[in-house]
Amino acid sequence: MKLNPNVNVVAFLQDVSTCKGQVFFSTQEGDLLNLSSTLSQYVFAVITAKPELLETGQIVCTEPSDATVLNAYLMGEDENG
Amino acid sequence: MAERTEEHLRLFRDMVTCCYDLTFWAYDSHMNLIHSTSETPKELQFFFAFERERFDALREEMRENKPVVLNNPLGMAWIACFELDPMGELLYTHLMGPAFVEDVTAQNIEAALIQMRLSPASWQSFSALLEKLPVISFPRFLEYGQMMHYCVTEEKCSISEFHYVSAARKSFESSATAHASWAEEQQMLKLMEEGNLDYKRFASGLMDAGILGNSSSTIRQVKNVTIVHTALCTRAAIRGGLSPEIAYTLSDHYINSIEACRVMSDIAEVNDAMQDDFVHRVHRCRTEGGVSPQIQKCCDYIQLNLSRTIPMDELANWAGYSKSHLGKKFRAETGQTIKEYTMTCRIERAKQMLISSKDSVQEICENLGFGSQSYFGEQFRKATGMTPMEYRSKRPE
Repeated sequence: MKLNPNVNVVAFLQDVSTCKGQVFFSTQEGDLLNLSSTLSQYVFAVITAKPELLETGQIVCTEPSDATVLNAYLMGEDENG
Repeated sequence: MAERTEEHLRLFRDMVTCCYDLTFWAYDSHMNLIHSTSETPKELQFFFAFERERFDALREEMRENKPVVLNNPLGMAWIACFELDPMGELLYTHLMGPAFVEDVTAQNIEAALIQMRLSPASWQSFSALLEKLPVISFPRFLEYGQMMHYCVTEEKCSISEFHYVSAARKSFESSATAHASWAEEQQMLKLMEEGNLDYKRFASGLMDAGILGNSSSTIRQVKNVTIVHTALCTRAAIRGGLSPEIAYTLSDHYINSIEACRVMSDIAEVNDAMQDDFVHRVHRCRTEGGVSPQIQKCCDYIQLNLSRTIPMDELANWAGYSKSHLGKKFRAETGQTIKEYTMTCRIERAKQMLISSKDSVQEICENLGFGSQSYFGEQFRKATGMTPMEYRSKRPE
């Protein structure tokens, strides 16, 4: 699942903290950031300022129902490509 | 922004950046960014954005226009100063930071990043950003905050008057136990305001509740929270009747002592000494009600200068009396000569230090201006019936 390009990072991470399972941000370059980690959150925030890293990144939820919680921040299925 | 304020700030920024590559920000009354000296404002703003909720909550509660110190779990800190209009409405918020306030933090982050095994692109993005952040000692950073506050308000303020928002509190605010911890802290501050010598029942509770750090806190976090606690105790003591002048002088002393600590146990000792000092002073203010303000001022001055013998000229000048008049008035109101009172205070302070610090008897003797260990021992035994070592080993209540 891809993030919206203009995602509100702080609001997104606040909602991530309410998720039941773990939420990861993975990039094509091989990063796998666990967004429950404080340091990962800061790295993630900096990455989102780089369009080339954000565009190729994916949000991965270990708990499927969490995708619903984060739906507002994600691009629609037809935009995911 | 007033032209004079902008001129002051411009000079201040230019001078600070001679020493440190600090970033400065200006926000309007709705916290929209007007200007930044950063080359990468978007990325750096993220760090501050994470702290915005706590910052805004504190701003809502603030009664006095004093600087706000904010730090985050990564060890970065900011200081915000507020420019108000003549009616007291917020015009602009001036922000300085982020900066690492301890070198160890920057190294720890680098070590943690290595463990994350980031891709070269992500590593490059993040580490390049961190490398630009200056590393400044916390006391120096606070001094810059005092200067920036003066540029904006043309008023001086003590670092004890700053408002502190600490990262360590974040975990307390997000859990159910935080409410109990906050209540305990408020109760303890109330007891301090009352000068209640029984406050220690609550002081140990603060440690247990993690108010002053826990086993997973870094030394920087514990220092920050202890500094916040010192500022709160200072205010409580002033509300309890201690003169602001004395309170802020003490507070600055204890904050510098906290900063000088290298291990957690030292911080706890300084904290204990600080709490004890303030509570006892408030207690004296409240119980020695028959003393006039000038004599109380003399008493406070003596207590702040126990390491030396204050010349009578100096004390009389401080009180605004002649030497002979001061001597008579002091004795009439306190029942003791100045020399006797000074000795009483030295012995009381020695008792506190013997219990709450690991300083040797020789160090305590020197710190309190006794002249020689044998004289100290003689005076101490005369007052307490015990030698200093016996007192320390018995630790009477």
